[in-house]
Formats: sequence, C-alpha cells, structure tokens
Amino acid sequence: MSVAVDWYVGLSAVLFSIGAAGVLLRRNALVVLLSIEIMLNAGNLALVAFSRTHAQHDGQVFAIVVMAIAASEVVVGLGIVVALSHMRRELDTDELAELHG
Amino acid sequence: MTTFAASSWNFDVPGAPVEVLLFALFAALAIFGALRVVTASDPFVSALSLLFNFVSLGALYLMLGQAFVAISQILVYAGAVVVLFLFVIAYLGDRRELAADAVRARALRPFALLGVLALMVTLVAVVITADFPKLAELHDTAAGFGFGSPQAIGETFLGTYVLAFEVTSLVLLVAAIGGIVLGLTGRARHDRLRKLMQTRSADQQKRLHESEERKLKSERGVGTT
Repeated sequence: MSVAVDWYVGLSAVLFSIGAAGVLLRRNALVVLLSIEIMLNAGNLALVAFSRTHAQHDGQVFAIVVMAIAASEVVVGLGIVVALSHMRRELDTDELAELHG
Repeated sequence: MTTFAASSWNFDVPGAPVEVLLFALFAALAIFGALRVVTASDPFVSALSLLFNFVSLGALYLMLGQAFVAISQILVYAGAVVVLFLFVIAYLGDRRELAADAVRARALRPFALLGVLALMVTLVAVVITADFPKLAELHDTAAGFGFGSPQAIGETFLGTYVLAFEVTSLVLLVAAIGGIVLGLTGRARHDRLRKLMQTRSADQQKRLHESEERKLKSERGVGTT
C-alpha cells in the first residue's frame, strides 16, 4: 500500500489555503511574506507530486525554478521591509498606503 | 548511470504501511507549522515554525523519490530563506503585535475568513472529485531509472527548459541588484547611485576619446583648407 497522489495534492491545497489566510488576515508585513512562502511551497508540493505521478522530471525542474523565484522575492521583500523600517514606520500593511491613488 | 541511484532513492516498502504513517506524520507537521506561522503573534516564532513546514515538505519530497528537490528545499529554504528572515527580525528588534492588533480591521476579518474557507473547500472538493492517475511504477519506465537524480534533472533543465534556466538566472541577478539598491540608505544611497550613473565603462571611455579626437582632426582639417 502506498500513499496516492490525491493525498499529496490535498495536503498542498490545505497548505495553500492556510498561506492565503495568513496573507489576508495578518497585518505584519514580515508575517505576510512568510505566508507567501507557505503558498509557494504548497504549489511546489503539487508540482513535485504530479512529477512523480508521471515519472517525468518537468515538474521537478519547475519546482526548482519556483524556489529561485521565491528566494528572489524574499530578498526584495525583506529589502523593502528594512527600508520601510528606516523611515520609522510600523510594518503594518494597513498603514502602508502611499501607492493607493 | 549507476544502479544505486534507483535502488537507494526509492522509498517503496512492499506490504508495509510505513509510507502511510510517515506521510501522516509529515503532513501533520507541515500543517502544524503553517498554522503556527499564521497564528503566532511573535514574528520570530512564525519564522521558526516555517522551518517545521519546510523540513517536513522536504521529507515528503524524499518520499516521492525526488532526492535533489528535497536537498534543494532544505538548502534554499531552511538554510537561506529562514535564516534571512531571522536576521531581519533580529535586526528590526522586538515588534511583537498585540493579540487583538495582529489581524486586520475587525470589520473585514469575517470576509477574509469566509474567502479563505471558500478557497479551501473548493480546492479540496476538486482534489476529491478529480480522478488522478496512479503513481507510475519507477522500475518499469526508462525515465524511472535514476528518477530524481541530479543528472536526470540537469538533463531536463539544460535541455528542454534551457530558456527557463537563463531567465531564472536573470531574475536572480536583478533581485541581487535590487537588494543592494534597497539596502542603501540616506546619504550613502544618494552618493552611490549618482556615482553608478556617472561611471562609464572602459569601452564607453574609449569611444568618447575617439570621437573627441575625430572632432579635433576635422576642425584642424577645416582650418588648413
């Protein structure tokens, strides 16, 4: 008996929803970034599970691409957070509204 | 290709529910870590809980027979991303939120929860109703031999998806430059950005020199005739 791919994809769906909850509910910019990481990882799990299902490597290649993109996103996101903190501002995503027209 | 790749990276235990137990363990750990990230009021606790999530996902990748992705997961996420987060949280100091303040404005909270619940129900319903194919037998296919090995992934990555590889490296370069630019502050930022704008490459300087010489020559030519 082995675990079917359904379970992996189901776990990925649950993790993605938890990450979305973090992005929607939390106000701290750092925690929002952490939640985005959870969502990207959930997507990766689905890619990897389907890659195993078909015994092809395409899904794994894209999982690695997603990892690189996630790392870039963290660098830029944390850079913005640090730059904001230099402006003596709270890292509250509800207060950061300079770009809304 | 060596034979040990296929035999040692395959996680099939025939007739035993070990795989089911391991899946349950790591799935529970992943969900626990994710929930803790979202609910903890201290960002430091959030970042450390994310480590649980990443490591158990790495273990699940190993169970799927994908050693290289699992190792990259541990190295990139647990090794680099979480450490970067912890550095920034430590640098910014204690910014613990009050429990009541941690979530968005009260009026919007039920709608956000409702939206997330709807998303979860929809996704899980799709997964339950969908008819996914069974896991392919790795030993039977040519691709299954050495499945998930760095060699096989490298061949796919630099063969079929070489464009994606190049674009990814470009994205990493842009992110590195963006990190440096965002990291500059105040006076240093102003000075260095202006210096960067003014700096000319050796090639540009050579061309500038040549065009000035040509200009001088033509002026002299005009003067003699």
